[in-house]
Amino acid sequence: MSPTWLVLGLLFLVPLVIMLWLSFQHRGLYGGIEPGPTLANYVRSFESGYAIIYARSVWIAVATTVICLLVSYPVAYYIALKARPERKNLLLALVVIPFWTSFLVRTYAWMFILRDQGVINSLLMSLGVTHEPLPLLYTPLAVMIGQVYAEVPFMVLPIYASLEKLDRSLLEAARDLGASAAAAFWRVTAPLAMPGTVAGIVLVFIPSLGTFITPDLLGGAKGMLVGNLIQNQFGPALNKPFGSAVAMTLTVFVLALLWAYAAWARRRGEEVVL
Amino acid sequence: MPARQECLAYDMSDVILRLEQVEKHFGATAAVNGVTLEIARGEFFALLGPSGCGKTTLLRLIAGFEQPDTGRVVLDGTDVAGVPANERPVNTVFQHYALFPHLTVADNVAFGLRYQSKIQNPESRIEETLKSVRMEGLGARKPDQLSGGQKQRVALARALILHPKVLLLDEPLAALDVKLRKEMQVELKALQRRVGITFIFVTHDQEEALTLADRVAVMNLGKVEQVGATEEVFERPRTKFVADFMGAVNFFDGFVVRPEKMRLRVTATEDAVEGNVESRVYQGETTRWLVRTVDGKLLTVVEQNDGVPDAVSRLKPGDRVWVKWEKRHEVPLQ
Repeated sequence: MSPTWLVLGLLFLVPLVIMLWLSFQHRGLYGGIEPGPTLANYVRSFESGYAIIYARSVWIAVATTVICLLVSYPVAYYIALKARPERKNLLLALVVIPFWTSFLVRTYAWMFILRDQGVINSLLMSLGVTHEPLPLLYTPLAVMIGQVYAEVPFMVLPIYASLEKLDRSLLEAARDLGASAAAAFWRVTAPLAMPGTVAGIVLVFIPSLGTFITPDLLGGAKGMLVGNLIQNQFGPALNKPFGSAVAMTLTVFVLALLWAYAAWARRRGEEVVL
Repeated sequence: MPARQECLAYDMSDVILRLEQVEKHFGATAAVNGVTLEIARGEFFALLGPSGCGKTTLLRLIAGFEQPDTGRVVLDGTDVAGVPANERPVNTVFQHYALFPHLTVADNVAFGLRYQSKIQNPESRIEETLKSVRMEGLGARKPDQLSGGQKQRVALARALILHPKVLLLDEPLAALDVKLRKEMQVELKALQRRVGITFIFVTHDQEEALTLADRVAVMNLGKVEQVGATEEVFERPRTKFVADFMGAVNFFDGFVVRPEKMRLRVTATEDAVEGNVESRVYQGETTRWLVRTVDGKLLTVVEQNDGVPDAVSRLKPGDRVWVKWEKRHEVPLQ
């Protein structure tokens, strides 16, 4: 057995099989397990009470991904195509360096920025723009801000890599044939950078769908996402089988999305980059 | 000779492109340093020079990818200063073709059509253009399924379909192997005659410039050293640089003699220069001799190989020879 399979097997396959097995067991006392098999956990995971959590999770993940894309594309474009070559490494480092700090610390920093007595509200009130603090912390907006901030480098780097490989003479050829700068972008740059763009979307969407620290710290009690639901089952709710069933449902949902994308891309004759 | 008449198919009073004192600096270096040129409608024109001589920058100034620091680029009577590349009636065939890898051959060729005013029946125009470059039926291919020569043809079709006033070609044949290059030279020349569009191409290969072009401008250090009909520039180079670039390597005080105009003699001859054979290189059709004269000068002599062994063909390094040429083959230099 090659080391690759050993690592993948121990770190991914074995935990996945354990979770799959758990999801078909009964819940025992004090977080224990009673032998199954049963479909009850899956049936429960589709109860209407949870639908709002799934819907909110998908909405926040989609919004995070879209905002990340809108923020990251111009950054990646500038670094890859406009910045002076000797500046590129510095700019890329600036994208990455904040992420050398712990994710938890950075999320707490956002709490200090967004809370009622935080940087934004004190500034707005001292300038007389508002007279009472805007509700920023413990809102879906706060979750999105925190999530976008956390995920931007995962969008910037693959898009940058795609754009960096782009042959500049193709852009000149497009201009030469009559395309405006905007037309050259839509007809040449964007399609050729598509592999990196799709990679960035996948890299941001999937972690955003399963996130639990950001909604926990910035979203407050009302903003529960599927990540928090799963976390709770393994923690305070003492229900590992149900937690596993929700996690498996989420995994299947993500795989279905990826499969749908791959099928669509293949039908259009594009290279599938997953 | 019909070939000469063909060369006069354009009229120098009908100027399609005029460059007036064009200068372009990159930082402290002058890439193009005061170039003035007139190119006639329907002409096949070569910009010839070593790398870094400014020929590619000049082409980019005409295309609109660069703007001159000073001077004017006048295209068909209109000063195109400030007109961006996409609004100039000029198209380019790029050195490595720059075909769009995500589009089919037909979509590559069609790329510029939507920016043209009202095209009747674009489908048939695409097919027609592909046919004109012998690529009919290959419209559905992707560029990575094409050979080098086919890519070249698609790049030509993509530009020619727009009927530009001037077609610019940046080292159009440099990426092809030798045999294909010779074929494409013939094809390119025939294509230019057929479509009647002014072609301006950049090359560092003097033989290619002579084969393809009607007229040639030899460039050095951002300036045009000499411009004229190919034959004239080849036979009557005016400067040492042009003479050297055209392969006339036997320099004397104030004049130059081409190696193929010199003859070897094995016996003392009147008005001949005495020397010793330094080396011989058999080149198939010709043999290239290096002769060290008695006063230490190195001369290159190219003799035709007629396949009949004679005293000259039997010469060996170290043998005494006399190099002879006619006075009329001495080309005076500035």
